[in-house]
Amino acid sequence: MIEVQTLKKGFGSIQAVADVSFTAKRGRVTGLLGPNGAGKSTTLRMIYGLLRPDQGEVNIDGVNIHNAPLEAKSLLGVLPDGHGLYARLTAREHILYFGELHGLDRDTRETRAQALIDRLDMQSIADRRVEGFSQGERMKVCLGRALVHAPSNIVLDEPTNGLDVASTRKVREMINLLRDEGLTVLFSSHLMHEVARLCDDIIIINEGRVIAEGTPDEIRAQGQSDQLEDAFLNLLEAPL
Amino acid sequence: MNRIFIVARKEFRDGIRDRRALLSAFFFPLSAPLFIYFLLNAVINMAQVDDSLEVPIFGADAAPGLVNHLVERGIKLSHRQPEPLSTIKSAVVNQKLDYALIIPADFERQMASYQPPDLLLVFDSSRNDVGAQVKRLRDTLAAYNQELVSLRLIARGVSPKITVGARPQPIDVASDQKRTANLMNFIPLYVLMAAFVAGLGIAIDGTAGERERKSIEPLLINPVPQTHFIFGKWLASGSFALLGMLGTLVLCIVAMYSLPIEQIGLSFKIGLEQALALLIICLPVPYIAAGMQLLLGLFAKSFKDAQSYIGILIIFPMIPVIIRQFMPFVTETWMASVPIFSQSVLMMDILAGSPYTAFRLFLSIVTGFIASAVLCLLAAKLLASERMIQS
Repeated sequence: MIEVQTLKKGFGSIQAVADVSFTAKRGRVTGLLGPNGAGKSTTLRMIYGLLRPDQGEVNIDGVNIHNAPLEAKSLLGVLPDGHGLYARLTAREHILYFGELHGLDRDTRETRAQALIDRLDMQSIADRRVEGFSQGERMKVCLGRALVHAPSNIVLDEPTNGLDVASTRKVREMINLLRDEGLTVLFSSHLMHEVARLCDDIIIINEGRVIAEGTPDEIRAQGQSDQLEDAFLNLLEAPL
Repeated sequence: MNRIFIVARKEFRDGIRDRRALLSAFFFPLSAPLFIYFLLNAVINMAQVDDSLEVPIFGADAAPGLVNHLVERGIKLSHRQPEPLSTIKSAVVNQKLDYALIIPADFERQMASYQPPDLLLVFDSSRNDVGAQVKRLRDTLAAYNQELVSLRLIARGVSPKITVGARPQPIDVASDQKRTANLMNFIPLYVLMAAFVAGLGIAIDGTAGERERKSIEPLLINPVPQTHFIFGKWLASGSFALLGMLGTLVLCIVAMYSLPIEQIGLSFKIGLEQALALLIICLPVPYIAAGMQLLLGLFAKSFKDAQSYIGILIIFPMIPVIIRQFMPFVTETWMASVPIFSQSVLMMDILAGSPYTAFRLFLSIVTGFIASAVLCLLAAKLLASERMIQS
């Protein structure tokens, strides 16, 4: 469970996040939806502890990310906005390296790495250096290394950005699988239809504030439209 | 603690696989001693007088006395038919002749009438390789003159001593090894430079490189303190630098041993004890360099940026050597507490055979490692700052 309370963050004169509170529940997929520049990435970065909020707090399964960062981080699996790879390491070495950084012993991390490789259908590329991998293949490596420590919470920042249809579908399947296993899944997107298809709960933010939240049905009602996309646009245009 | 080694091992593996960076990292350390070997070898050869070389002499028949004097002094002559001065000059210019001695046809007649004849010595002073030969010839001719003058004075009943005023007697206190040290200031210079060059690629790759390829964000999300990341990267890049530096040190010493420097009146004596002391002294340098490079590397957003910032650091090991060349000084104990400077100065002392104290060595190592630890802690602080993930 990820609890976010009254987060606030400014950079210089820009108020990137003005007031964001929500809870992403266990066993559910929560979508953070908003137009580009709404404060999605900044919010997520405060959640996984790389930015310090000016105000408010974040708890991961009850552990405060800023008071106990190491403990909280080990409960999180993250696919961040910037997700570069090391060109000269193989896919498997990426997953194993992150497993080591999480303090897993050799047997555990090798078993987990193999399981993730099988699950993500990357047997044929597992022992190749990632230099020259396609976007989809790179995404698989990123997912693998984010999940190697079997976190109970997973945060994905625009996971389908730049992916082709097949890879996008693979990521969506993965999100559903993780939810079915009882994980807390929080992901951000600016694509309404993606959020509509995947999410149990939707949080819409604009200009650093939560402007609507609820199940897809509740969002439709609040946005006064049967179509989620129209509802989303209605909500964005409504005065705060 | 364990995480430090995990990070170091990954960086090391990544560094070893980077063939191009590896080549540029070790090209300098391995080629510098070779370069020095060939350069010094050439210098030594030039400084030596080759006895088998013959002096081209024009019009030797005109001065049998002078020719005898030269031959007695062991100078071999190559007799040539007289030719116009301009022809000889252009032969020297075109290096068909290295130099030439020209005796005028009326040498004996002028001597007999006490008119000093001109002995023309044609040479090219811009050529370093014949300088030693020309000098020997001039010295021999000067000695001939001196002898001639003495004989003339004796013939008139005057003591030749009357022509001598005061006699300067130089007493050089520099030992052979000390004079050699002057020639060898390049050793600390190259050894320290190697420490700054060899770990450079891996230090930049682990800092600016992480930012450029956007791998820094996923890395920092791991439950590992920033200090562990930095010390791991420091260990990897410092160890690369250490390998390069040790390679240079060993090759430099081997090169000095295999050069025939005793032929130019110098000597190079480095025992096991001195070699160990040299090794211990320079031990902290790669780690100081790695600390500086990591810190600066984090300020840069791209590999290219970092290379231009960090390239400037190479000036540090040069400063002490340059100062000592132009403003010679005696090592004081406080100097042993200034990182980089202390290593350079102490190495020069040991190579020169000057006394060194264990305390200075100790001071130099301790301050060196303190400096590198401080640099790492600063880098860790920077790594924790929010600017790291903003592009």
